[in-house]
Amino acid sequence: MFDLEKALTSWRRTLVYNRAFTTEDLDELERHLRDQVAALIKQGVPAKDAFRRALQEMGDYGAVEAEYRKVYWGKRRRRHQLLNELTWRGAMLTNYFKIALRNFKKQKGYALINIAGLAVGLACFMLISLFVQFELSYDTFHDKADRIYRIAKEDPGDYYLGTNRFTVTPAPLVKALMEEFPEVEYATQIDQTYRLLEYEDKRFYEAGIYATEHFFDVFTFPLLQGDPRTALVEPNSIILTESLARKYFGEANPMGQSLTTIQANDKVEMKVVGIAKDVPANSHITFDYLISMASSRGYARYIDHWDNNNYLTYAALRPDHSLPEFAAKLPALARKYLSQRTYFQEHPEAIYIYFPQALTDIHLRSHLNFEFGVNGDIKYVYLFSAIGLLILLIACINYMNLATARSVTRAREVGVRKVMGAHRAQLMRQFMGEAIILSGLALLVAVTLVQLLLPTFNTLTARHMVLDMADTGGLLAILLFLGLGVGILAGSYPAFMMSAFHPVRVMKGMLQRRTGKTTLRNVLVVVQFAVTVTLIIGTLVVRQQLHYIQRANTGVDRAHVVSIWIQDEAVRGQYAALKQTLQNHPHVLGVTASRHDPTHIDSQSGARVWEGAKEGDHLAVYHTSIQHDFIDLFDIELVEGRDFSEAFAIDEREGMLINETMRQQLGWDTAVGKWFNMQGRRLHILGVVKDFNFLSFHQEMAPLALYMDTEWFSRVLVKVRPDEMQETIAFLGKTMTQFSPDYPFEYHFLDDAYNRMYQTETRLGSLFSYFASLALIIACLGLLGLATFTASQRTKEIGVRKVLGASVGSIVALLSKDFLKLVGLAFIVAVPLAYFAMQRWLDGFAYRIEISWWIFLMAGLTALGVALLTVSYQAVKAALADPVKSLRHE
Amino acid sequence: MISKALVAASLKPFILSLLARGDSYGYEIIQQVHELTNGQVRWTTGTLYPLLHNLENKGLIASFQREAEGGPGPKRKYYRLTGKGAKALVDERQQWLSVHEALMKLWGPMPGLTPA
Repeated sequence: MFDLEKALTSWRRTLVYNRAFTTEDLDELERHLRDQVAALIKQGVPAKDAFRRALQEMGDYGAVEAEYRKVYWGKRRRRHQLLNELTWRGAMLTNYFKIALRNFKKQKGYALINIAGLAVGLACFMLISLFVQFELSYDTFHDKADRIYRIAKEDPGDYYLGTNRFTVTPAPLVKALMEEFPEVEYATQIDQTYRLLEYEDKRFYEAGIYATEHFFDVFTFPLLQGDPRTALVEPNSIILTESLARKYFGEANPMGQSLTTIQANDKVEMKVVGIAKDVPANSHITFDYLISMASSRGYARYIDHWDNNNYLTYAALRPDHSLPEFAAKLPALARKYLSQRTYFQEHPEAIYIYFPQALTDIHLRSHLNFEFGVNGDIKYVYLFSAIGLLILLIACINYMNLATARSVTRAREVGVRKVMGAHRAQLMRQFMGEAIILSGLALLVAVTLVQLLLPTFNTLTARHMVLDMADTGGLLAILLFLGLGVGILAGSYPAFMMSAFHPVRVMKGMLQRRTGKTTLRNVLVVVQFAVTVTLIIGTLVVRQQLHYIQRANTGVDRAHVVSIWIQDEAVRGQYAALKQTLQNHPHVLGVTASRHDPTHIDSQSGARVWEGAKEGDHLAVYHTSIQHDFIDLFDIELVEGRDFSEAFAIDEREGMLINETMRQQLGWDTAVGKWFNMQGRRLHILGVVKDFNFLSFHQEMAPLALYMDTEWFSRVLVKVRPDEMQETIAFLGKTMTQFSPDYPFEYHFLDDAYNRMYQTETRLGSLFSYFASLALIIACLGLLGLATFTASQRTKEIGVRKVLGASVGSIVALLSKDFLKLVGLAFIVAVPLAYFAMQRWLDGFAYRIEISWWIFLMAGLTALGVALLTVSYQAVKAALADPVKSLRHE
Repeated sequence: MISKALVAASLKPFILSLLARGDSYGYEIIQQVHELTNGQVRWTTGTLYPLLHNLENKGLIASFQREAEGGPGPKRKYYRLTGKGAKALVDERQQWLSVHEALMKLWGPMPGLTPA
């Protein structure tokens, strides 16, 4: 017999655990059911049918719940039960947390792999983000950053080091900008200087700049002491940075004190008129001191010379300026002032073209001649962003892969929970919670890693990045969000998948590998390894090119040569005596002097007059002045004629050596005996040297002229024996102090200077290899997890196979085969990608390697080898397991 | 039958209007609407109660308990119109009337279709 009361009780029981319904709601619904059933019974419907119809009319259970849920929070709030509710939810959260921790404990290996993988990925990504943010932040600290422009010039036809665009501009440009351009608020010019600073017994070479009056009106370099409006007006005024002030004056107040600057035996007393805050690390203009431009005699001399380009010009435009209009007016300025000169009247096409460069673009996008320092490159910002994202992607993939793979082992748990009445949403929350806790832990590890690695990373990138709340707090917050986001994202897939398990099937152990999921996992593995292989290939190519640069025969023997910088005029007069003294030392193999290191000769002049030159001929020639023994000391080969000789005094005045490229560009078959006008001097060619690389490998070979000038050298080059280097250096220092007591002994090894030219490439190479290794590690961690999973899933199969007589080898092969196929596929995907990317990079070199097949082979084998090692560890373990155990396991 | 969308739209004005005539409870409201529309409009419990709760959250109606006269079981939950609800009803009424008026204009006697 149907019992309405019982039916109602059981109906209520199904709803009572649902948080969407309050007791009051259920009361109301029950009342409703009772009323309706009563009405139906009155109409003669049997009680059982009446109840069923009443339930039906109430509507679909899910829809009702959804409707109730919509008004749920409002109700809570209105009834002041919010706190209660939150406490309840909090308790549930603690429960999730507890269960998550228990799960980690139970599967330490899994948790470790997962956290390690994600942490390393996140750390990489953070470091790269820091780098990218730092690069993008250059020069943004100026108040007027968005309206400051550098005025640079294009010099049509004058190609120097591969470009005809120059940063340097003439002195009168500032005045013209301020007076003739209403949109220019302020303009200023600077000039770099490196000189001796002397205060009492302290004397060091220091780097600073000359700056004109309105420097502080354009830029924001705060002064701690002194008046920015007047500081740069008077001649012989100097502003020191905090650090420099401390170095020379200690705790004493330097304001008003005087400091001596010494350059080329020219001593000038400078009055300290200000103390500036240290220049931020992300400024393309750097200085330790500022000298008023009024102190510069050269500037005064060239104040009206429009064709003497020596200064960097910056202008702050008014906020309402129009850049296109401003830019369009600039070329006319050059025409106006330069067309009066006879040369430009004859060659109007050679008139300079001034153009503006946004201040904030300079660091990453400007590669003109005579940049203030070594600029960054937007290409590398893109490249590293891509690498960072890829590594993060690999780490996420890993996470998902491992979690889904592992899900099967937790299928029973899901089943039991479902049977006990857990809702899908609750299960999802559980899994998401675990993912978030894992990613939170990973984030913690990652931040620690970043802190530990940052100094190394700073050295590698030659930047000064910091990780603190003040400077990078915003970024840090974003990264925290990102870390959690990654956790949620990576955890959501397994959460969705697992919470959808059908409890009955799961409990019966029917959840076997489904092909769909396997495919997805495989795709993920392929992506991971493709990225890794690409990075490995990149590393190898960069290394190879660097190796080529370091080992290539540049035609100059630069080993064990000390280059001593000479600033003291007095040394030039005593060169013969100095040379003699140095040569007498047993460790000194040879001595010469020149204006440039032979590895970097960057003076260039245009020549028009030479034997057989026709009207309108023009040749841009790199040149330097040298002393006797230069050719011998560097073992430069002569292909024609002879070297300068001390036997012929006339060599010093009229002799000249040229390189093969110059001979060829002049169209000469033989050069010896012909004459060439070099900077107003008619020189006769004594010999032709074999082409040697006097510029970086980025540049094509160019014409080079070597002549003698006993008064004009800036370095003494000493070839020494490789052993007992310290003693030799000490001797050199002592000798130099004797000859030049007022100047510190400054020297470098030619080899180091040569390698410094490829700093960017060297750094790229190291960064690449680090990131490639990390990617490989992360990918392998993922593979290890997957292999463990596969092995555990196929325990029974392996047992059966072993019982039937399969060898350990065949089982290892069976388990490894699938993974290795994936790695192979990844290799096929990666090769063309890496090939094109690296070809483009190599195109930046005039002298470069060809990418050989063995690089790909090596990258592929490395990835394959490491993958094999990873997988086989698990496979061997599984294959060696006692089949009795695995078969009994049920 | 009246379309679902129109039924949904008419829920609020119906509830407010019925409660304006006197306090009532869920089951009764459903019955009354059913009768008023000659069975054309039939609400399910799943839509009515959440809406009642929602209106209550917004303060347009208020609820109170009263002993039920129909046998055993929990008390009956009655709803009444609040002052705010009465204002809302005026507004609802205005909206319905303007829609109604506009439609009537369109459907009114048309020249050529109706005999002169």
